[in-house]
Amino acid sequence: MDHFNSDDATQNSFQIKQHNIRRKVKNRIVTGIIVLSGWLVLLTLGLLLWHLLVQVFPLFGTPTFEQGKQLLLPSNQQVLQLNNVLQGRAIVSIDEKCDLHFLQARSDITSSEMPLISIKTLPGQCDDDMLLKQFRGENFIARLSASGIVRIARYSQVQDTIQHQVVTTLAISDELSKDNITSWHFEVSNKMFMLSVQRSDVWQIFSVNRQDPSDIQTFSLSDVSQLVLLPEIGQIVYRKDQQLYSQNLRNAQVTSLGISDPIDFIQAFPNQRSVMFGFADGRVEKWGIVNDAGNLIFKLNYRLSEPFKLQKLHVHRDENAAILVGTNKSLLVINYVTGETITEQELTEQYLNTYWRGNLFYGQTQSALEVWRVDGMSAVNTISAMWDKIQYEGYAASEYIWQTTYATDFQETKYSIVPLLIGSLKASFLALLIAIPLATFSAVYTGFFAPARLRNWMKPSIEMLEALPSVIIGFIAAVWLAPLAEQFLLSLILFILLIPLVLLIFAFVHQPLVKVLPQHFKEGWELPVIACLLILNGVLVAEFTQWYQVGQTLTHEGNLFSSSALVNLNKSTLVVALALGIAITPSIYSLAEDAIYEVPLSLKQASLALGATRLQTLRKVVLTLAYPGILSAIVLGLGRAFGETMIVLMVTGNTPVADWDLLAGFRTLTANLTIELPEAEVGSGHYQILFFTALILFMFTFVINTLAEMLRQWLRRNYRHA
Amino acid sequence: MRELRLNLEQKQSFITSLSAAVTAFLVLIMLMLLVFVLVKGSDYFWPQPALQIDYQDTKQNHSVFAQQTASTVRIDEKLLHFRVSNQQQVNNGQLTLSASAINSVSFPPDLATILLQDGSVVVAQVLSLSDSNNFDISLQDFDRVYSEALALKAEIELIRHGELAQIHIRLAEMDKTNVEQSAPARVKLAKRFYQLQDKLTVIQEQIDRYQMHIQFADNTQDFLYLIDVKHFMFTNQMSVGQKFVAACQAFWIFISESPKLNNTTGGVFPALFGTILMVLLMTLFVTPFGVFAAIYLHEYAPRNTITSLIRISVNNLAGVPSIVYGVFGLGFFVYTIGGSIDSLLFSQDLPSPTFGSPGLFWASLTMAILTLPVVIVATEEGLRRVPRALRDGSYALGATQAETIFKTVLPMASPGIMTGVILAIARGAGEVAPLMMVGAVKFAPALPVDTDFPFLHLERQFMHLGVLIYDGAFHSQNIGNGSSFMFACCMLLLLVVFGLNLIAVFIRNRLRNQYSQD
Repeated sequence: MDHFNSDDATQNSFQIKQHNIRRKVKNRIVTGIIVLSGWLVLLTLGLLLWHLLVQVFPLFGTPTFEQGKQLLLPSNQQVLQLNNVLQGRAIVSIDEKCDLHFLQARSDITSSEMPLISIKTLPGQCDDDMLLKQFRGENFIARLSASGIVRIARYSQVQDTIQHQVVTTLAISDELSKDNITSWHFEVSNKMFMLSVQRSDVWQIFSVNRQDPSDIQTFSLSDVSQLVLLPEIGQIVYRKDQQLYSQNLRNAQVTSLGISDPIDFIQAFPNQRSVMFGFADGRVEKWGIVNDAGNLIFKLNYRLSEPFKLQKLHVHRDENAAILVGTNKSLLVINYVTGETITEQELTEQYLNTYWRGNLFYGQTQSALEVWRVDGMSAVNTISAMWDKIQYEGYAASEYIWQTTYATDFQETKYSIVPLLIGSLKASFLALLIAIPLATFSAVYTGFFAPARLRNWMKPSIEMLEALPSVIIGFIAAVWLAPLAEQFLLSLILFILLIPLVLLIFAFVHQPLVKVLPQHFKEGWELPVIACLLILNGVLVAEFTQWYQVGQTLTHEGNLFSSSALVNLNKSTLVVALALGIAITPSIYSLAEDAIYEVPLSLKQASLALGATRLQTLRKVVLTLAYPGILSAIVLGLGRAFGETMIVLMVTGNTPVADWDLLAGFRTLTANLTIELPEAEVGSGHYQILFFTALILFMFTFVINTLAEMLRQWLRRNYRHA
Repeated sequence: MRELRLNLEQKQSFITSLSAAVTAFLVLIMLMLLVFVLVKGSDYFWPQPALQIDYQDTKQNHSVFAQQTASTVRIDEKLLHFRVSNQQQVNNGQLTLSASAINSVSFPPDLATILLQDGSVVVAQVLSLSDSNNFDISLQDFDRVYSEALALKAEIELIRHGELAQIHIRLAEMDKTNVEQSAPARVKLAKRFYQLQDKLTVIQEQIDRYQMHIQFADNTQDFLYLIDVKHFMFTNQMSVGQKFVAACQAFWIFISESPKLNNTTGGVFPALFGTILMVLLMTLFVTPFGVFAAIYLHEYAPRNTITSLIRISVNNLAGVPSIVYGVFGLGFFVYTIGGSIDSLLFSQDLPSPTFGSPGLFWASLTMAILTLPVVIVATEEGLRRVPRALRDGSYALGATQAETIFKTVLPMASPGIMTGVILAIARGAGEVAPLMMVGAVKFAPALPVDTDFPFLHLERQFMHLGVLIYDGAFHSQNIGNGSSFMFACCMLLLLVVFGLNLIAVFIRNRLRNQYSQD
């Protein structure tokens, strides 16, 4: 029996040991999971910040160039038009029999040297002169035949097939010969083809309407040495008598640019709204059109900081980046809007011709195309491009503008963050204007004046407002309040004006009333009475405005309140202020109320015992101690308003203008993110700048939170010393 | 002026009453907002009276059957918006009249409001019904005739989705395997196919003979196909009780059906479903994470710099604007992680993304991070209320720390955790801005849950009540009808969010009292 028991005991103790080991292991595992979760919180915030930084980082980098493949050009062929051949767009070349070839890279060979092969041949004549142009994804060939006839054809490419089609034909020479033509140019715009033909010193200019090819305008210029056609804006720029002029083709108005220095490089930007000049002394200047009281005239935008001898200008399709290919085996990457030089890159050779599209840069040598991979072009969006006033094409003066999407390519993208920041600050300020008085006064009431019974009931109800989804507030404000704002405005102003009057009367009858009231009602009875008075006030005002408006419409005269002043007011400002103000009031109220309520009772009692009135106690004791807490609440409210999205998105109208005028429209950083980020191309400068604005939002709230926390520490110190 | 200067007592009265006025103002605003949304929202469900309106335009007098949908004020005249039915526009006719143009309004008791299957409404007098044999059946037999028509409709559906679908699949298979057109199996199938088609045509003709004959105010007549009718009622004859029942039915339709007519009528089931599913998934992520993090902070964390850093992180996560979470969710979850998942697991589908585009999974993960601070703070609050002595008792009995926490502390702190989770759910249900970036859309063609494997499609986009409201505020052209539908959505969202909050407050109050004796 004994033996049996002891055996059982060893068995038991063994089991217990096993059990304890299991418990320990379990404890370890649980501890591990819990510690991991704790650290994961830190990691989450870190990840958030890290991700934002990683996305923003390329903006502050430099573009990189890396030499890659070589594409071998067929011998005996001369390249007429380079193209993004690695992305399948065909190069156009001409052979010694004057036939046109469309060359394509063989996709089945992936070695570092790829031959180019012809996918289509167009028969040609050696008497013809040929010019090729690309315009917004369209390709044009203009042929000038020996008899002085120009044929303009368009070709398009779908994978490996080339479609070729003559668009228009016109005779440019009366003598049925092109022998006396010394040079000619060809330019395309959305609406027209433009040709310039030089015979000794006389230039003849033809503009052909693309919609109606029989609609041809001609005129001639004499003694002109250099000529740039800008059909898109209906202007030409030329050099005559050592002076540069621009001429408007519609009204024949000629404006001097005031440039007399010799020019050895002149090229229009692809959108034909700016021209790049390279002077003989190496100066490089961008002249863009400016709106001068309705006339588009050319003005100097900027001059590059370093002299540079230009061979060719390339412009990025989406980013504000331009590559300036120099005559000294190097190229410059610039932001062509601000004129800042971003980086300089040495090239292996002096190329005959160059081509740039996306992240591929092609340089043509005698026998081959060298391909460079270009990355990090979003770095052209410098700090100055985002924060400074900039002179954009077509604007009268330098301005802060946010405009990121265009109907066409090669436009100046306007990435000034300033309008959005102003919008956010304005919205927050408007909201605080409403929220601070509402929140602090009600915090004083429930935290100090009101009896505990009332406070227990009021505080949760006001805090409940915080749970109201902001999309509902935004919806009511946008759909119901905004259309009513006009009538509502008069009522609201009257309502607010009448409140002090009502309260003043109340102040006079308050004390006598208190004396006659039974003890039971002495505290907290003001609230329901005032609420009734407010409702009464509201009803009266509503009735009055209705009566007033009816009266006004009947008589159509007698504007008591100059209604033009009221009508011209931007109502959305008022609606934003109200909606956003109401939305952030509860969070300010909640914290401010806590600060006031938690002022140690001993201090309040001491003050009252010394004979101070409740008002004096409030001012000298409670508010003196609690004001860091109230300030902290307001600061957090500012953060909340700054980060609020739905209300501003639905109510403001989202016009990004940099105007501090409270009544002007605005777009906030948050609303802008909601509108633009889902549409932005991943990895583009636009995408990265949007992340930069998100980072600004993040940092702003970070600072706000830290500030509020510091204020709260101060508050705690206040209470501890008490 | 001297007489007007307030003495000390009056000053105090003034300040007291001023602060009381502001407080009253705030509470009134809250009540007004609540009442406003509830009234405007329930307006959508309450059966509106059917009207006969006599009005005049520039030339002549007209008479129409209509229902009022809204009234607005433009400059100086009151405009009334109606939904009308007439010969030109049987359903969905719109009419806007200025109040002065209306000569008279009457409420004919035999005027019916007919709700069609597509969500539109016809206001007309119902004359009779017809089925495949009889032309003049009285309205008394509506239920019988209607169920016959529905039975025929069901028969069509059965054939379409049953045998006909099978034939389609097998024909497609034959196409794939290059079975010749003249192969006997194929010919047999094709024959059966045409047989079924013929049968369908016959039934369809039969169904088309089930009609409801209606008459408009100008005595012109028209008919509706009976299977297009959802239900009809004589609103002018209804008592309040009947109207209440009708409103409840309308509410049921509202929460159980899909939006119709470009999100201006019908129901919000997909949006409600999407909201709930997203919130549930979010809860699944955030609850363990938040609770464990709170336990770490309260029970395990040493008092050092790292711990205070974690506390600062929690504080800051709470303060970060919600839109930044949306940006993070889109950039990190969708494009970075989702893109990697795609290239690893779904590379056969590229370039069309599977997880690399906004969807339910990423939305709930983003919302989980957004609501994390709420859960942590509430759980810590709950843990703080568990008396120290209980833990000491547990340790004294030899329990490990894990056992103490899971067997003693957590059960006692569970109301706090519940509060946190409910508050997180309420926040998650009401937050819209980040969701618009990571997967909530105006219209999703399919629910994220269906009968196809794996049943729960986490990569799909989903509909959300808040997004529906945002979208409705700007994109519904139909001011009268559409906006009251949107108010109904607002009401539903408000009920969900406030209901959850009230529960949280209730639990928190109980929690406060639980250990007050200790």
